[in-house]
Amino acid sequence: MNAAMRIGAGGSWAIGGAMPRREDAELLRARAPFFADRLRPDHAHMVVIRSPLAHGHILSIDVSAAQAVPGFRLALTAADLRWNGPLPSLDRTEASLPAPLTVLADGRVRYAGEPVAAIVADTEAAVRVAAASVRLSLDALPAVLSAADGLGTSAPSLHGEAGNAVHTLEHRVGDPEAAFASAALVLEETFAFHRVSATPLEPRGAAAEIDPETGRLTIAATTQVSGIARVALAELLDRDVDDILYAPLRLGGGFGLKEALYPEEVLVAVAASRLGRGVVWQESRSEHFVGSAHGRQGSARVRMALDGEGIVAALSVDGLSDIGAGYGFAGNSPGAAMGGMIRGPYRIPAFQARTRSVTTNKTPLNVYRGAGHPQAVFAMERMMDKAARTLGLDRTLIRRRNLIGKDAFPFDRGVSYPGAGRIVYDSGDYERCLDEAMAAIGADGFAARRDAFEAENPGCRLGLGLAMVVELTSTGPDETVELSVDAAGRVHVATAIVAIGQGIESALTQVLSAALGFDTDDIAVHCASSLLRHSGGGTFASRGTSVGGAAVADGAEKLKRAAIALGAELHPEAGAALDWAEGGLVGIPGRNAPLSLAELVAAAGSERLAVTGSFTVPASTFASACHAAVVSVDVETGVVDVLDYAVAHDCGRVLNPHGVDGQIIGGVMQGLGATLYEDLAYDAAGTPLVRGLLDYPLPVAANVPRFHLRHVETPSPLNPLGFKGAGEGGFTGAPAAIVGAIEDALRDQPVSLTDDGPYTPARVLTLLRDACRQNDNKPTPPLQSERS
Amino acid sequence: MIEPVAFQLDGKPVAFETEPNRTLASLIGQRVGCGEGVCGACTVLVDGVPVRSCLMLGVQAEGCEVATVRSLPAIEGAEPDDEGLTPLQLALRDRQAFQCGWCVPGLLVGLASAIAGRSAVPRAELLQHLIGHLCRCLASAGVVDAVEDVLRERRIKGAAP
Repeated sequence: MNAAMRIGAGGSWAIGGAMPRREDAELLRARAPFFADRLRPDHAHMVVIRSPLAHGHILSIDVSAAQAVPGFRLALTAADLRWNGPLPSLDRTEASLPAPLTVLADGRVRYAGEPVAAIVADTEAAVRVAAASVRLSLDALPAVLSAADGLGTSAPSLHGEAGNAVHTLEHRVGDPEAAFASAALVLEETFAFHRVSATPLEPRGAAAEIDPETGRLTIAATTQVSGIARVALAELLDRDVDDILYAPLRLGGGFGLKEALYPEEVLVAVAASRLGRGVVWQESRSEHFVGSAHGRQGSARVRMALDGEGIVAALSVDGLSDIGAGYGFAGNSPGAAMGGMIRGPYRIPAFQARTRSVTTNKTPLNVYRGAGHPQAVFAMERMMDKAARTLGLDRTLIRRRNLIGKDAFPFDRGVSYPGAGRIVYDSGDYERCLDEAMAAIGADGFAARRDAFEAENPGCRLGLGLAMVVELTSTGPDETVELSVDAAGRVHVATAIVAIGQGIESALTQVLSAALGFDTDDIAVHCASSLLRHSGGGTFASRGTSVGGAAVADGAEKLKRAAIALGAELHPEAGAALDWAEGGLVGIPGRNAPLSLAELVAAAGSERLAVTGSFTVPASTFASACHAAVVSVDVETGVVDVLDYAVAHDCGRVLNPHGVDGQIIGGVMQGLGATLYEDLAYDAAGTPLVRGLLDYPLPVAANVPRFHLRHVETPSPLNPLGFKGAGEGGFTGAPAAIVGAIEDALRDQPVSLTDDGPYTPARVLTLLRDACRQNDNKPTPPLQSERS
Repeated sequence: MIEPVAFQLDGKPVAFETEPNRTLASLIGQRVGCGEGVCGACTVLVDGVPVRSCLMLGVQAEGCEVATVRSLPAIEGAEPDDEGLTPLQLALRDRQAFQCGWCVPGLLVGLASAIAGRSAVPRAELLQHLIGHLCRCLASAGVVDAVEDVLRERRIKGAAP
């Protein structure tokens, strides 16, 4: 890249260029509009009273003492709400049983942390005092604390009388019974996935203001889906959608957790309407772990039918998803992806799957970076490792024998599920991803490296793990952007996509710069715009750059055509020679420099150059990757360190290699944290054990391995730019690759790892102790360090 | 109960009437990520010492000098460039050491303070320091490289005492 194109210097950028991010200077100067920066001193403060119990009847909610606190303004309980749910959930089917979430608990609480009441007072200090004096009387009920328990006939039914298995998806492809009956080898395993939190560093928050003149409601909220939330809130509050505005905010991380309309957004709106005054709610971190959506937890019982060469003939899956107390915004999607996408990059012609969402007395589940793909990949890749060990095959060889070939696309998997549609892989080169990742991690020289490492580090074991990933990205339905030109000739792009740290302003700027041959300094992208005439989707499912980018590319074409049409009126002498090039109109006789957009606006105003770009998603795209990890396990301390991590990633055509690398590294690190450290544990009564960040250790800079990243590009035929999603795949392969590497490090022990962690030092030492006990009757000595 | 408190904020005198249980972070509008001193997002300097402003009461700042990211040039001992960015800010940008940027103001104050007046800091010490500055986008590997860039530049310029 030449020096003139350095940071801040603008310039025109092509697809694939390493354009520096445009939002960085604003972020560094702390001038970006985050939620906390919008707080106003005259807002009243709201606190949410939450259930301390996992399950119980509400006997009474006494707010009389709170009402006596100076500065008290308002108390809201379910009885005070005209409308109390259900909160929107997008991924049910007609057969799904009712399991609605309400704004405030009505008669019964179903999880510790469930909102029961809201108190509003003049100041932060006053509202704390008032909230602390609310007397909540509950009668405890037996709690359901796991999906398996929830299926039991004696388990209390959380909603209605029909039990806790509220949502079921089933798939069937080919003749799995025949394949199992004739298989040379049938393997079976049950995998468990633990509960984690996305934990964006910026907690959630919501504020509402009513314009005293127009009565218009303005919401500022930490949401990834302001476009969808606005429409849902309008319905819930029985308001015209044009009467509600979402202030455009930047988010301090989202990761799926902020993809919802949460109760607090509704409560501040109701409170502001009642009081005729601005009301703000700010989430504390202890609230975050019970009041913001959880991720992942579930299980999968998997059976695999193979021939003697390791070719997988059939796969059968029975999956459970612990969705918590009711349907989150996309709470069934993790289970759906776990079942529907489990075959990943492998052919596996016969398939059957059932995944059930089970209600439990826990905080509701939602999608978290990768939704159910990390669970699917974990189960599939651990089965592949098990099959390789059983058959005495190399772990890469057995995978290679089952991969879908690069000429087999489009590849119809014969399944579909809500939110995804029919699963038809659009493009890919899985074997190349495998080859590149193995080369990047140094698989060929690994045995020698291991010997040297273990000789130099007594008590430490080195292991290599790998995981292959195919991931559904860039879901629909559509995205719309509005392009306009100001008097200076700058092009403004308004989109409903929300900036959550993924660099979406830069991505859309680069697409437009490439399409128009335009200097990036003359492009301004406005995210989270709720002024759009068309309501866009938002930020989820790795779709911003691919779907939003396609809409921008469409808008760019329309802008060029509008400029040419206008130019032809102003300069009829140009005739058919008039064309768009070098960021303006060329072909006008007597002019050397292109006619700029600024000149067109000066001559004819800006209205003729306002265009709408749109893209309707024909079908989802399927990104792929191969992950490989090298870990060391210290058998004396139980500490697991990830030393090297390779990803060969295919997100179609790469818009910006820096942007993709950042997404992959961040995703892998979140996967690493979930696998080694993080756990949203509950005690036997259903009380959450995580009260703050001290109880929930996140990975830090010292935990970052050496990364070796490779880009494989098989452009998607489903959008004009060939993009696929890149935001989530980093997480998706990490648990399987890291756990595979831990098991490989402990290869001389009878250890079979069937859960995704966390592999804390205590957990690893327990594994080793159990392995020692199993070894007691064997002639070989138990694993011990050379020093002991 | 309301109490008065007065201190210097980024070199300017400020005075508040505040409840005594209100934190310094709340009083001066710092981003709070955890409220228990773990994440480091609310880091400011009080009389030159890094403090988690979520763990300090506003009234405790009486008579103190409080410095936020707005004082970064002074903390870092470096003039900002045309864009208003210091060497540390530019290095974080060049190394893509952040994504969402929410944690950045506290991170800048903490880092600038840790390396103030120094031209060599062991990598292990930087990694240790970053345990107190959480980043959930996990771009934080780049932070260490960025700080090392700044220190290298200082050594080249011989500017550090």
